[in-house]
Amino acid sequence: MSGQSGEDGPRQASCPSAPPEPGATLFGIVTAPGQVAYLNPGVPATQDLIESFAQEGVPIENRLRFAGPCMEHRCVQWAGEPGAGRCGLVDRALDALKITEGPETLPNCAIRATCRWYAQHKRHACAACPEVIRKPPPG
Amino acid sequence: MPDSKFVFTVSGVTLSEAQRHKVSAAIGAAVAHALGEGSTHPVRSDFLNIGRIHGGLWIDVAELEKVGIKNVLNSSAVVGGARAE
Repeated sequence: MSGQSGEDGPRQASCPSAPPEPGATLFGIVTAPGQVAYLNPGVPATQDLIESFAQEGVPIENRLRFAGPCMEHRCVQWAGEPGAGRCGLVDRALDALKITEGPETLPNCAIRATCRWYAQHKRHACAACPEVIRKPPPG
Repeated sequence: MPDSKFVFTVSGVTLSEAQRHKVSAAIGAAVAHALGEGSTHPVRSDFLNIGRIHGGLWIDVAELEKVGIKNVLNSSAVVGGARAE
């Protein structure tokens, strides 16, 4: 599962809006606008799994949520200096959605221990998470 | 928060770590397919009505209106976990 690390080193932070590619982890299904069914444990995203969803006609980047290693300053969303910044996407999401409090109970999310967004905003991030879709509908 | 937990037991044999991993992944994939079944229509979220994410890329709404989405995407670098498409 992404976001895990060896026994000795610090944990690699996970991006909860990672691209669907082998090595990523499928951790959620968008079941309705603003609603995600969280899978725990996350499912390893293999090429076969991704292709099987595509064959079923599922718009993968719209209806599935994948986690992968946070790319930090190598990601266009990163705000700040390498090693000292933060994810700007979740900051914008909380601001845009005017989220001032998190849900009373949190979903049983597979990546919370390493989630970059949760590390930055704790349960407030969990309120914004279901609203984030990598790819909007065409048009 | 509603949870649904599924338990599957294999008894009588000692599974290797590889077998356990394979079974676990297969169960996870089956659950994901069951939940994603019929999810063939793209959805729009509240966040997308306020800002735009295209392939994980945040696009400032004012900039979007000024230059158009294709120009914004064409001028953006493809990097890391957030790539323009």
